[in-house]
Amino acid sequence: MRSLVLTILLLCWPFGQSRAQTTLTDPPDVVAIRAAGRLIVSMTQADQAPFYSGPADQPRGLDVDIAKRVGAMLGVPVVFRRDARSFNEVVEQLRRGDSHLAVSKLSITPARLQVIRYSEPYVQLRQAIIVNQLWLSQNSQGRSMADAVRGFDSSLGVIKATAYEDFARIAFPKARVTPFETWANVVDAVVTGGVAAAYRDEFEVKKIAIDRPEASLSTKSITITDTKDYIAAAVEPNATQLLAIVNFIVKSEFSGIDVKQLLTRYQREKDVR
Amino acid sequence: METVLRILSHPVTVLLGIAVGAVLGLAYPDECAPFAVIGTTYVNMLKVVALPYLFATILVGVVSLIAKDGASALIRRTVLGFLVSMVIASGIGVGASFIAAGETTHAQRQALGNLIQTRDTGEHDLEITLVPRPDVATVTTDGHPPVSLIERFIPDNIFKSLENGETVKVVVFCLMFGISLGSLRSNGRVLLVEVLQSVQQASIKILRFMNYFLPIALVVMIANQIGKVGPGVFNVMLSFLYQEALAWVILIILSVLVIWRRSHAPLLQVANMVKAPLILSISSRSSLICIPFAQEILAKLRFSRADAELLIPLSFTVNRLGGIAYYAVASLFIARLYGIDLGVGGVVTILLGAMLAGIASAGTSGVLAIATVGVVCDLLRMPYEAVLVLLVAVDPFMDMMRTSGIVVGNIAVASFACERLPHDETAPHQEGVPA
Repeated sequence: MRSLVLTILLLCWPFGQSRAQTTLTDPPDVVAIRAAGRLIVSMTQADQAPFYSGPADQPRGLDVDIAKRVGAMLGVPVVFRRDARSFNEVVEQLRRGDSHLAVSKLSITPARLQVIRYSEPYVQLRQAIIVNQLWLSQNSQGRSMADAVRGFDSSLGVIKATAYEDFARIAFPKARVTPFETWANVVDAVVTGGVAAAYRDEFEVKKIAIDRPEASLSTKSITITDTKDYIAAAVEPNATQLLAIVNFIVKSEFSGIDVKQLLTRYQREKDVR
Repeated sequence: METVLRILSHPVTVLLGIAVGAVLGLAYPDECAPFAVIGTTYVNMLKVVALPYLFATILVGVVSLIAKDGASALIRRTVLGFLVSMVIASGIGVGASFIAAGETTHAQRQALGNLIQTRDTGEHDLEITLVPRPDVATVTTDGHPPVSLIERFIPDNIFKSLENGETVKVVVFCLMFGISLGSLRSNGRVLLVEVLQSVQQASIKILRFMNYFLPIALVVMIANQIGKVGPGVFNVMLSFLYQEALAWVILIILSVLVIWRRSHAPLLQVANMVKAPLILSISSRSSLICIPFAQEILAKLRFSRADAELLIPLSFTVNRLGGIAYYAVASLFIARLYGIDLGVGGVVTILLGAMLAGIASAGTSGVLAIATVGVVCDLLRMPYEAVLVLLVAVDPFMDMMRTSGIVVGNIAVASFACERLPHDETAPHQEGVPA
């Protein structure tokens, strides 16, 4: 009898051991964030209202709302890192591990897709060009406006080190892409005729009419309907769980945002300011 | 009853109507809008009579012209009068623009930009595809192909043209038909001419009756026109309004002086007589309904009625003096807005281009008439689509000046071209046409 009990005990013992050894491990990316005690979010230095604007440590805007929701779900406070001088630098900060999440009006580009992971887009825009009216009337040469823009071969202003440097070269292969430090510089140039046109997403191009009404006299904004500009959040390639959380939040709370809603929000925030 | 009619047709009552309309339009623009239908109905009733009158008058005029000696002299003087008056009108527009224009400040440019934003109906922001789609029509920058101008002059169906009020086509038809009719030597021709003269008389009786309601219509029409523009728009486009107003004043004064010199009548009498079509053209913005009044003025000043009956409708339709001055002012306004340095060559181009635009605007009205400024801008490769929104915003004022410039300017041209009757021969008074 004693030997039977011992045998049974000996047989059951491995099962008990294996159950004790099977412990649940949290995803490493989430663990790292909780260990850090905060979620570090990268954004550019320059404001991009209504996505993010205001004091560096207390910004407000659509991207800020998304980041705060992610932080709330992880149970950690959000720290905004706003020292990147360009959108490409935001991507580099993420790659180096200097931040956990980038929510910075980032466009999805082929080059960036190879080094970081994007969430589902939370805004879908189209690309747009704003053309100097004088250039258009003097260079149309009897062509329709659409054909004159399609065959654009003059100076095209873009912001340096952004997705639109690449988008412009693809859309207008004959154009002389001219990078500027800031969007304000680009707009100044196209209004005064320093460049023939400027290239960016339809929201920024249409926003010019709100910020600089006099630009309506000398420029014409044209949306290119067969192009896309997807705006999404980004994580480093191994942060799969964090990405799943961001995707869930985007899908459930921040989907279907279009250019009209952005312009309305921007105008509202501008009136408050 | 007679007292009431006398008061209604008195010049002071008419001027009071304009003043009251202006005040109401400025003070209560929204409240005046529903009453616009009264003004529209009044003008429509005048137009419905004016077209048969135009039809009958031109036919009678052409037949008389063919019948009399000296027709070729009239034609020569008419062509010369048209050419010289077009050059003068264009020169006045250019001159007024240089005299009255000032610098556009940054604040003014912002206000103009805001006006474009608020008045634009979505044409300012375009959408295109990078890859051309054959099923989608594209907007062309060349908006004035020659074929469309010819189509605007030649009628394909006179009844359709009469129904649609296509004055240019009616005039062209009447010229062709009148020449044919004048060459006939039958009793039928005489009978037809008598019928047409009866149509003239009947139309004039109706116009005389309608004239009693002019002060009331003026209040409503002026109030609505001023209310549509609004003081805000007025302030923003003040510089352009000054330039156009100066051109208009010079054109009207010069026209009155030409009529005075040609008629040898006292200047005050001439000014008094011109006042009626001037006020009617300003308030109604229709040169068509001013035709009978213009013809009567020339007849009273002892110019050949037969010549006037032909020349007035023809010149009102083709010789768009008010429009020519407007296109010159508008083109220079656009050049200044875009900082374009025209040089002497550019100014000469505007001078000639405005004349072309004036001819091209024959038979057009509203936005199409304004958009004809593109004829001049295309010559200089200047953009104008954005500025069109601004021009449309103040067009009620501009149209008043364009129309009255056409009316009074062409009375002056007709006074140059029409034969003056000898001193002892008075022109027969046409019953029913008010003084």
